[in-house]
Amino acid sequence: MSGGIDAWNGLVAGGAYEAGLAYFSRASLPEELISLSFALEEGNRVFYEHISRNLKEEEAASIFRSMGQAEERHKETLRELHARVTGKGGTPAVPEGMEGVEFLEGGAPLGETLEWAKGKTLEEILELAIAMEANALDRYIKMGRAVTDDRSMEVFLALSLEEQKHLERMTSLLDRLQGKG
Amino acid sequence: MGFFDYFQPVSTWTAEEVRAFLRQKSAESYNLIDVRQPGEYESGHLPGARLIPMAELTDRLGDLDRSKPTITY
Repeated sequence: MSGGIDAWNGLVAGGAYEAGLAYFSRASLPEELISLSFALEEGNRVFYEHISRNLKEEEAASIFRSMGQAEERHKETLRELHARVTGKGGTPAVPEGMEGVEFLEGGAPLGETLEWAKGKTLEEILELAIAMEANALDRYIKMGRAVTDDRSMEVFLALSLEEQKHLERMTSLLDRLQGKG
Repeated sequence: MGFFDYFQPVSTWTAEEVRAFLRQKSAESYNLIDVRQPGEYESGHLPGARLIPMAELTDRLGDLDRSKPTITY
C-alpha cells in the first residue's frame, strides 16, 4: 500500500497482536475466546444503551440504540456457539481477570468510560465508538484464525462482517457531522 | 520458491484502493500484513492485520496462504 499506515487515515485497531485475545486472560481455547467476546459485547451493549438514552440528537441516538441491540444479538450468537462447543447451556463464564469489572472492546473499563462520556460531544463519543468497533473487528478476524473448528470460524467471520457494517454506519455519521459526507 | 516467482508482478495500491478492497472482501480471502516493528503495530494497525516485521518476513513466508492476495504496509 503506497504511503503505508500514514496514508491510511482511517480505522485502526490498537494493541499488540495478542491484544483482545490475551489482554484480559490467557484465553486460547475456543470456549475462552467465546467467553471473552461475550463479556466485551455485554460491556459495549451497556455503553451504547447508556449513550443512546443521553443523546439529544435523534438520529445518533437511534444508531446507538440499534448498536446496543446488535450487541445483544451477538451475545445470543455467542451463547449458542458456547453451548455447542462446550455441550453446556447457560451464560458463558466471566473470563479470568475480568471478574467484578466490565470492560469495553479495546480494553477500557466500562465505568470509567461512562464517566468520561459525560459532557463529551457527539463527535468525541462517535470517535471512541469507532475505535471500539475497529478493535472488535480486529479481534473477531484474529479469533477466526485462532480456532480450528468450522462452526466457530464461521461464527467469528460472520461477527467480523457485522462489526465492519457497524463501522461503516458510524463513520458515515461522523463524516456527515464533520461535513465530509 | 521457483525461479519465475522472482518475476511475479507486484502492484502498489493507494490507501483508497486498499480500503475499497477490504470493504468488498471477507477477512479470510486475503493476507493483510503489517511489516513494521511491534511497537508501531501496537500503537495502531489495520483491523485484522498480521504482524510480520520486515526482518522476519523471509522466514515466515510459510505463514501466508499463497493462493490469496497479499497486502503489505
